[in-house]
Amino acid sequence: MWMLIQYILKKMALLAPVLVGTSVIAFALGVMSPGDPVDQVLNPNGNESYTQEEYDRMSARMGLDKPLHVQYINWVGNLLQGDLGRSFFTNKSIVDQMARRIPISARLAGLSMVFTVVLGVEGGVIMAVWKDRFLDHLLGACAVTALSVPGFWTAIMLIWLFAEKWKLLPTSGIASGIGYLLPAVTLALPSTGVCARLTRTAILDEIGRQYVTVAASKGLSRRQTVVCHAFGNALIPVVTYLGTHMAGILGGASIVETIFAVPGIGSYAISAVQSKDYYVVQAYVLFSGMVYVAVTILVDLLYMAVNPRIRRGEAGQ
Amino acid sequence: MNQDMEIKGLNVSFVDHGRETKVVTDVDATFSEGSITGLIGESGSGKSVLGMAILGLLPGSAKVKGTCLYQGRDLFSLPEKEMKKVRGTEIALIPQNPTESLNPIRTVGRQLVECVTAHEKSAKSRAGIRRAGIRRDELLGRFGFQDVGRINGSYSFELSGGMNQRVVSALGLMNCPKWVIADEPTKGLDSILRRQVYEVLKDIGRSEVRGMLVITHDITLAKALCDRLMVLYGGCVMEKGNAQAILEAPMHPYTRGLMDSLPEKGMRPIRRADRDKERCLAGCRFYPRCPWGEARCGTEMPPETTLLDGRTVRCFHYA
Repeated sequence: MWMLIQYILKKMALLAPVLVGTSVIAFALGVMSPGDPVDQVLNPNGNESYTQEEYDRMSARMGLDKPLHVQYINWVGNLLQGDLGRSFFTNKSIVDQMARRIPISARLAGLSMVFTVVLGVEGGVIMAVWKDRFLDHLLGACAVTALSVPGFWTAIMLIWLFAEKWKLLPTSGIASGIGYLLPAVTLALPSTGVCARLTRTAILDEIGRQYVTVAASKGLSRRQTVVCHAFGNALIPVVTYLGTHMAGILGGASIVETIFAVPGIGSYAISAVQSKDYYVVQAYVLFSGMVYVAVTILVDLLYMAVNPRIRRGEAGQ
Repeated sequence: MNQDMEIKGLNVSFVDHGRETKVVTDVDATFSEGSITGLIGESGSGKSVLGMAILGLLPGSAKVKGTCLYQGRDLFSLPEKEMKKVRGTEIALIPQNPTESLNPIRTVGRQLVECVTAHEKSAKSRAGIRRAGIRRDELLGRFGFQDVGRINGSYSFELSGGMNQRVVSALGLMNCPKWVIADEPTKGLDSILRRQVYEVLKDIGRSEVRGMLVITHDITLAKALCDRLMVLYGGCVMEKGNAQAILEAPMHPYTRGLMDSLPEKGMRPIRRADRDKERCLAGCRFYPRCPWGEARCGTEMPPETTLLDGRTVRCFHYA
């Protein structure tokens, strides 16, 4: 157990520079982006005038009159105290907004992940077991279709079918829990296709290995050799893919959230970009960077669970 | 019941993109109860393919013709469901390439116990697993492991090649099979361990199993372990019969060459294949390298001739 904690701490230490880098990039994005934040605050509609004195006062209040490195340090300092500033437009605390929106995005990502893992891995196993037969070809075609159809098209088709035609599900919003269903499916479809194909290839790769033949020589059925032996080894590349995918959708599925009017972190970022609300964009970049780091650690732990070579090799040292 | 294994007219070929490559040609052999038969020959002579064909474990691209009678049934035409019951209990495999033969993400101990639990439902009970564990620890001990507990908890990548070799030897014997096919059981072992392994195999071959097939190119092992020998070259049986007789007085030019190439016989290599003769695919497989070759050797496959001492030789010289 101690070994495990040490391992996690070591991983976190390695990832610390990544976090620092992300924060610099996030901050720089706010500074470099076109438009003047002071002007944005004083003149949000573009038709109000202000004096230079007012401008300087606001600039000082926002801390923008100081040199860049001081601004950065102040920003990080506030950040560490849990303050990301306020949105120019709504004047609401960004941290509060994000705290409200993150669970929504997380729920959406989680549900979509469940679809991807269950259908993708299952589909891949079925395709591998029925290799070159009808079922393999059928599912293979489904997988390619799923991964190549763009999300917005899927979204429109799903809304048309389930909401307009059959009136089974709401068109948008998450007023009821069932509202998560369509966005989650839309989000899951391409990754399910990729996951199924990846699982199929990985399993077939493993089936060709000698330990599977030896397992068969013990008297195990073909199904048992696949499930008990090949599958565990085949999971290793699949876990890698699912990890990066999870990080991507946790950071907000902007398009899908916008189409289905899901008030998650992704649609927040989109609206912030549209209205040049740079503090929000800064916060969003920082958040998605942190998610990546956290998921990377999680994937490493999962790796250890499925791969004893890493468990014994790295944690055991 | 008669426990002999009788192979008739075995031909194995691999089909790859419509091209067929023959790897085993017209093998007839009887492996009789109570005997240890050695299959010797160089790499690529079809020894392992023969063993895997008996177990029905060749890849899907393999085409197997012929029959393999065992307990009144033809193993080659047995449905998979029945064949599954034969593997491990009736005929077990000691695989070659031990490190690749073990699943890298399962402990060695678990993979050994699985040989038993694969077969009986009752073996999956706690008592069954404990019994399998006792058998496993006893076997590992016999193969020279002192700290059995540590080995059981190890993964194949944590053990040396020689250790894995002994682990897979135990793996083949776990479920007390009637027949064992041992594919290169002494590869990668130093001479002390090699001796130990063939002592155990010999012991088991004599007392615990009905018969054993040892696939090897280790002639010393064949000498120490086997009663009967089958010499393969290019997928054909060149000579078969009593092991001692063949090793002391080899008849077939290939067997002679093989013996002459041993260190104690002066290490004279078999001569290189003759380019022109290599194109003669219809005749004897050894013809391109044979010192006695005649014209008809290149066009006709010599028949198997039984000699006075009971051995069979496939050579026109004795026909």
